Amino acid sequence: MPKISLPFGPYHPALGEPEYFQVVVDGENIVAVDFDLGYNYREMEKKVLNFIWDKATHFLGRICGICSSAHTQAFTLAVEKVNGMEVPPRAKWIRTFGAEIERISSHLLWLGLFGEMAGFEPLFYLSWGAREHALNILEKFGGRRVHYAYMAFGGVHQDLKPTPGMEAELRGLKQKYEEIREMVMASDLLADRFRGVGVVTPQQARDYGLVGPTARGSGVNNDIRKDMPYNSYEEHDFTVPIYKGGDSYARAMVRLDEIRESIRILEQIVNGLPKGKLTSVNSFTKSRLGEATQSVEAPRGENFHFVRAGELTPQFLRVRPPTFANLSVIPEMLKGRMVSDVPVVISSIDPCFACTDRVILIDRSDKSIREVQL
Amino acid sequence: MPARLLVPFGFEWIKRKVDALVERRIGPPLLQPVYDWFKLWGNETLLPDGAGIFFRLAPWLLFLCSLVAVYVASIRPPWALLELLALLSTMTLLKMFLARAVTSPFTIHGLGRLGSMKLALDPAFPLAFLAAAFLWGFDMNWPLKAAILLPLAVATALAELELPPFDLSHAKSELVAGWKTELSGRWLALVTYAENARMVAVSLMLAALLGPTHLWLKATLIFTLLSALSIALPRMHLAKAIRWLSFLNVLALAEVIACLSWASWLV
Repeated sequence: MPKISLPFGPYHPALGEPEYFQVVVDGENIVAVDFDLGYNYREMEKKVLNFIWDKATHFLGRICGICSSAHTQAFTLAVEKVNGMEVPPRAKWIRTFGAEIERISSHLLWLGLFGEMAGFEPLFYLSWGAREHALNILEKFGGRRVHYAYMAFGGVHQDLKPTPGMEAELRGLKQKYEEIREMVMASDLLADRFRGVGVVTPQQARDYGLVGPTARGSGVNNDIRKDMPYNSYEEHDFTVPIYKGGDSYARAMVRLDEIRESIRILEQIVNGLPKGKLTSVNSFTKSRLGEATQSVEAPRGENFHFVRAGELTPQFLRVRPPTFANLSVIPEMLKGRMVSDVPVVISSIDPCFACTDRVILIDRSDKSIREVQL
Repeated sequence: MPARLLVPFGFEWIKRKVDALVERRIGPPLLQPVYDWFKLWGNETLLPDGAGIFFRLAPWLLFLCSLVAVYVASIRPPWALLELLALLSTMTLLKMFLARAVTSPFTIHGLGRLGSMKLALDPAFPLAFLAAAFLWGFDMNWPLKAAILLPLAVATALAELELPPFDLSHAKSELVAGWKTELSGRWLALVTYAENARMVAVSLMLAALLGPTHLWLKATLIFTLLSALSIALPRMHLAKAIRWLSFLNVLALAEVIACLSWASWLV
């Protein structure tokens, strides 16, 4: 049988964002997989160099709509390192609250899409229904459902006031999460789509430098919140879920367990938020010159920012989002699998292409476009 | 006949309401399927590069076949059974020709899956109906007959109608829309209508095989059952689906032998 190239992308129902996966198949069996990045390139690292500090933070939140907080936190923490700023304990707890509610929102969004990829639409609607609670909490706390701009240098802009409404949303979220978890665990037919599919061994996970739930699903204990604690993570009681299966099911279970742990952290914050100031500086307009790096645990894994600070604006910024680290293992995961597994495997790493597409080169002479691997 | 033209829209509304119920949504109002269909009919119809004449012809033929199928299925069996089975097979062939008339990798893949599913299913689906036909005419109450015959008939009907968990030939997340990928505008409207009408025809035929009374009530219940199962089950992996269909063939053969023996004993 002749080999056919199946184009998964740039626009395909299996991909939430434009990206290109070339899947060469012999009948239903996958022979080779390659991917091409760059369809979401927006020149953000270059544009941010023109913005004053406060504006730069808000702008970097737009790198991604789902892990907006992870980018603003990594950037702000790096600039605070350069300037030796102290952050008040209350602000640290509020930052943790923002990061964890974002993790829940991101994981529930992913779970819905994961169900959709396996042809199970009810999971999509139920997960996104539960996610509404997380978005309502974000709206009450940050003023918006996406691109919540609560981060400020030296603290936070918005205070967290646990109201009965917010607590009711948290209870609703917890209840719906338990229902969804029960449904996923109970369905053998659904689990069959994920078990043994896209296996990554612990050695491969280390060799490819995988991060986040993708690595933890292969038994690699790798979580920035525990390894290099920031915000108030040291003060909270939570565990890092680790599964050793290495398949899509293990990665799904890691994320499902993480939602439960994040809810635990949120409850601790709502019940024990320390009193005090929201920020240590009134306004931040001039920075010391210097450079710093900061990693935060975004919902998809380690999100790394390198910042060189100028006086009024950043001088240089480089972002290494988690999907960039995880994407390279996809051809390995699909080796020897069938076409039916492609959407499940791609979505099992929870890719975010808006975060990933960072640098692109255009050769003026022949107008060719090339993605630069950093 | 004109009233029968509207029947698939009514049943589509039921399907969409059942989907919404499972997914905890409100679902569409009664006339929404009609509105959606006419809106689709009015959309731009694109002809893919290199598409043969059959690409333009097949949607109309599918539409006509589906109309005849609904009409035939509402005539009492067992005489209409063979005609309906022939029509359903013709519709599958038409879909294959339609997919072959364009050169998209997704339609080609959808065609391959449609063919392999049909080959794997072909003995089981007619046999499940045949078993029901053997018991037709005997004085049994229809819920008892349904309990005996429906499990296998419904399982094979899900595969014949390409509904989840057997919707592999047009799996959205894998093949975009499989054999339907290149259809648009009024051709897609015709094919959508034909697919709904096919589901109605199969429900009607199953209802009629259960006994001559309350035909439309039974058909509605069977249609609702098919809808509920198709929304509640995730899509199977291709390899597993083929294994399942092979297993259904064995079950169908056993059921035919059992029903034939029972019918001879009743006689």
